Order: sequence, then structure tokens, then C-alpha cells
Amino acid sequence: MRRGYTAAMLRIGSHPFWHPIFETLAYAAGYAVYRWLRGRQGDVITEPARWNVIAAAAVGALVGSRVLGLAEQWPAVVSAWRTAHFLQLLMAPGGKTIVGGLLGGWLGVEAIKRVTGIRQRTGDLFALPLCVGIAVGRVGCLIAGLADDTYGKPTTLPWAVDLGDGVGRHPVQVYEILFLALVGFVVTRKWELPEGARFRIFIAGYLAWRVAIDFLKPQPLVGGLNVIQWACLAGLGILGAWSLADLGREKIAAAV
Amino acid sequence: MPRLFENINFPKTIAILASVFGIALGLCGLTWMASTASSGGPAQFLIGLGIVELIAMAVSAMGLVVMLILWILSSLLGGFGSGNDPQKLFDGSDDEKK
Repeated sequence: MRRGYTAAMLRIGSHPFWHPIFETLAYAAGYAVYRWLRGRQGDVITEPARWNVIAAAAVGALVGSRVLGLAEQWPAVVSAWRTAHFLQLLMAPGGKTIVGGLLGGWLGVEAIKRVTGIRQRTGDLFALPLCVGIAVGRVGCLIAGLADDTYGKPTTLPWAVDLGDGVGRHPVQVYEILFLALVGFVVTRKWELPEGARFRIFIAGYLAWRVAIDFLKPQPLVGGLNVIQWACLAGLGILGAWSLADLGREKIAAAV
Repeated sequence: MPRLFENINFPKTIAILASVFGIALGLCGLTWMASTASSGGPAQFLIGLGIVELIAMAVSAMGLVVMLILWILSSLLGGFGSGNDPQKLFDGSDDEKK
């Protein structure tokens, strides 16, 4: 029996043209959920300030997703630079990562908040829209199959999917959609949480998830982990440091 | 010039342009990949599609850069506005919950 082949595996094939369609749907769905959520629960900042935050997040996400995407394929980047094909590489498929988008967007928001003097935590309104947007986008990644760099390792599990090469693979995109449904459920509970906690739950959960799930993806490793996993660990480290600093500030404020 | 700035929602425009650029980048890359993988008739069609995507990508990228520069200029002239005043913290459903 061929490695990773199961008789009952679901045949999906590789249809890369669906990817941009689902990517567009993902942006639209995320924005629709954001509008619905903002209308339902209000906002801690004014609409113009919110648009400042969204613009910074969009630009940061664009830059971050591409930078990490290129870092992920760094040997190709070096080669393209040497052979003067860098522009061709910039336009090549893939090379955009959700983790880079999240980290870049987060950095962009923190920068604009510092510049404009916004002191409130603004991320809670983004937690559920991000869950929905990423989940919709992952459907496109699954259908794109082997053309997208997000497919799983071979497996003989009964729910393995065939992406067109006759090999049963972990449907890692489906695992991620299920995980995002769980995170979406958690961040929409009416628990009394501090401002910004829902976004922190989302980002910490997603980054930790990616560290774990990327072990099921056939990616080149650097020091035992792939580039995305290293980026996730860096993001988790920054989040942990910020949370500890906040905790320290709150303790000092309570003591005073 | 400052009055012109007042009539443009820079952040909203930038967010839309960034999304268009991101999608066009993905589309363009996939079309390029498909056209290099196929030969003959379909490749001709894909090249036409690729040109449209390239234009969308170039226009959105240029628009993004121009809007970013104008946004910074307008903020230097008029300020970003901190937006520290809450718009609406909680609605009625939260009161009901309590």
C-alpha cells in the first residue's frame, strides 16, 4: 500500500483558482462580522479612530504577511535576488501567511495607537471577525490543495484527503476551521473579562495552535521548527511580556 | 488643499486599497503559476487575465503609497484625532444581563 493511501479518503484535488475567491470572501465575511458586532455591542473608540486602527491593521497585515511569507522561502529569495528575479518572486503565488498578517497587523495597530494617543484596548472587536475570516480563507486553502503551501503530511487516518496526488493527507485546514470555531465560541461568551482580553485569548490561542498544527505540515525546518512556528513563538513571547507588564502596572495601581 | 483632505476618509481608503492589493497579489501569482503550467489556448486567456490583475495590483499599490503619504500630510496639518471618547460602551442587552 502506498504511503498515506487509504481506500476511503476524500478526493478533493487541487483547484488553486478558488483560493483568491475564498480570500475575498474571507475579507468580506470578516468585515461583515465586525460591522455586526460593532453595531451590537458598540465600541470603546470613535468611528474615525476605529478606521485609523483598521487602516494600520490592514497595512501592517499586508506587509507582515508578505515579509514572513518571503522569510518562509528564504533560499528562493536569496536565489531570486542573485539572479535579478526578485520582482517575479514577489508576484509568485503563496508567500503570504496568516501569522505574518496577524503579527504585522497587531504591530501596525500598536504603532497607530501610540501615534494617535489611543489608550483603550481596541482588539476585542477583531477577535470574532478574525476567527470567521481565517476559517473562510482556510476553505480556499483546502480546495487549492497542493498549489497552496498549507497542506498536511501523509496519513492513513480514515478522514484523510487526497489533494490530487493520490496521497492521503491530514486535512489540516479542516482542523484549523474546527479550532477557530472553538475560539470563536470562547471569545463570544458573556464572561466579564478585562478590555482587550478577548483579543489576547484569540491571538494567544491561534499562535499556540499554529505552533502545534504546523508539525503536521511538510515544511522545511530551521532548528527543529519551521519559520512560522518561530514567528508564533516570538509573538507568544511578546504577548506574555506585555501581559506581565500590564499585570505589574495593575498591581502598582491597586497598591496606590 | 487642507479642505480637500477633509473630504477624504484616508484610513478607509487605505484599508480598501490594502485589501485590493492583497487579493490582486494572490490572483496574479496564481494566474502566473497556471499560465506557466499550461500551454496553447488557455495560456493566452490567462495572460489577458494576468494583465488585468497586474493593473489592479499596480493601481492599488500606487494608490496605497499616495494615500499613505497624503494621510501623513493631512495628519500633520490637522491631527489624527485620538478618538479617546467612547462611542457606545454597552448596549441594553448588557443591562438586562445585570
